[in-house]
Amino acid sequence: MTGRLLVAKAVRPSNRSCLLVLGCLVATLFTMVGAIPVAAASPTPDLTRPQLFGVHPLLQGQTTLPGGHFSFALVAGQTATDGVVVENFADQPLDFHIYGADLLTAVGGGLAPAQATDAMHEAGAWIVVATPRVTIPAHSRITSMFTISLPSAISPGEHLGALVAAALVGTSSQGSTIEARTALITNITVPGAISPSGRLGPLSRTPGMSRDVGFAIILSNTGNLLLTYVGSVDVLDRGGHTVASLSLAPASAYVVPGGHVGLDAVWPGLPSSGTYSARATVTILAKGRPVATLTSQSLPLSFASPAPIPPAVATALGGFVLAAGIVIAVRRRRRRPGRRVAVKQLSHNSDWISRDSCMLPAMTRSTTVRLSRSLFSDHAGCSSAICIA
Amino acid sequence: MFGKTSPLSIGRRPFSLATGVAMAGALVLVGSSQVLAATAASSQTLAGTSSAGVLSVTAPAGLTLPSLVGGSSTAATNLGSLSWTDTLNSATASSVTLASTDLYFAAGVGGHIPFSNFTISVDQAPNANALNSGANAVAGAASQVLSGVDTTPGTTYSSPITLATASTTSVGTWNQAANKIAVGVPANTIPSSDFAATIQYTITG
Repeated sequence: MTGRLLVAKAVRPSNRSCLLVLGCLVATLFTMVGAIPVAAASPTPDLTRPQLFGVHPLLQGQTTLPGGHFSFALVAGQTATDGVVVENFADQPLDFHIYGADLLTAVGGGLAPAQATDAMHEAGAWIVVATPRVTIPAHSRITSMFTISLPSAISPGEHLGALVAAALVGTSSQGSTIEARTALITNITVPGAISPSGRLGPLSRTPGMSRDVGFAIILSNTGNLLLTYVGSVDVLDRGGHTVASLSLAPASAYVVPGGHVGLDAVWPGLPSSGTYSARATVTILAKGRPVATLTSQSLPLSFASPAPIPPAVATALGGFVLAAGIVIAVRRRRRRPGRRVAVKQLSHNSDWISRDSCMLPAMTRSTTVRLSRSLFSDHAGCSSAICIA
Repeated sequence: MFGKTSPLSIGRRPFSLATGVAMAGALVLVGSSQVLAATAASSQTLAGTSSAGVLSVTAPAGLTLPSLVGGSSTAATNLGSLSWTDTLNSATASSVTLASTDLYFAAGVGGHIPFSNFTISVDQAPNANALNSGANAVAGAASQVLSGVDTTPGTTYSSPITLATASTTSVGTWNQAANKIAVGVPANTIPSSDFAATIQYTITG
């Protein structure tokens, strides 16, 4: 029985391995099966599908103004009127909400208008659409007029907003809805002193990257013009030599006045050891022209190889490993059926049997214990005190 | 009072002129071959008026998520085919962004799944129409977690994330068909309930 048990224990690791392999196979199979529907559900690109709806400025192509968006030069308190054309390309009527909104820098560097329900602080607060709610029949267009009224006190520079046309374009069986928006940028320039300027936050390492070194920094637009930028992170060794020059991403996005954008760079691979420093340099541009170069603080980087183990710790670890090895060896020998021995009680009058330097607990005659001969191999005197059953 | 405040984009005018010249040449060639093939045919005048530039979008009609299991994340689910057109003569680059509300069922604990649990995998290879001109659109970061101040669960939109940007010289139509969403479902989510959200796509230019 014991032998069978021992055999059973001996094969358990193999069974575990088999089960592990089997589990991996099943998991892989499930993963593959699960992945197939997702892949199959990916629609193929369809660039010929007609667009749902679109917008363009009313006077596009009829003025010397740039055609793509609304550009106004206005002074404090002044009012201007313009219009936006909204076209419904779909085969069914669509309900539109047309409104003015502040322009925001989106996560990742794009531009997007604020939500209709947001509190507007910039151009979005000055735009009033004459007919904000309108239903446009299929394949039809309407012109929506709007007025921009600047407050009496306003700072010089660029004030950005957008004319937004939004429509619900789909609903799922679960009730989820899809809203689509088209937004024409509205750029209102107020004459006066312009001050394109920006500020860099502290350069930091991106947490959670184990194989590469990631850097992160925030660029803020502290001036009154729309900014773009070009930037990089330079990594220097101890001698001041540049060992890597890493482009900051997203590349050349827009940063609206008062807005900010998070920039990232990755240094591929992790140095095994050494001391380095990193510094970000960002050139900001207004209307496509460089206006300033910003530099971050120097970020120290230290990469150390695994520290050597102190001698005392090494000795202790070695002793522990040796002891663990002995214990394992002893247990293995004890589990072998041929190593089972019976110890007969040599004396009923004492709790302990003592001979030479060997101590054994007292036992009844029928008591059977497992002993390892190796434990007593160094004690010849003790061996004579043990009777093999 | 209006004033010109942005530099005029001149890059596409020569292109348009070249296109016009090429079209005229093609018409002449076609007309010549017809004359050669059938000497009795009269010449035909072909004329057309280009439409105004436009900023337009086609968003997917709906999205059905897989079962929401409390304490686990859904598989990445395709968001559908998104395409957009920018043929405006704009001095500003265009951006395509995504925002979303929470998945909402009811007020109270477990009644909504915050948008901060949504991870968007962005299609890294926007498809460009063969007739496009200028640089291709550039995809946003591959994996983005929605964020923002959720003042009214179920109604408030997340901060927009960038799906793609195109430069001032990019004109045409692009498509992203492999954007995906994965939702981390809190363990205390009310079971057997229909949660709904609004996903919002915006083209800005």
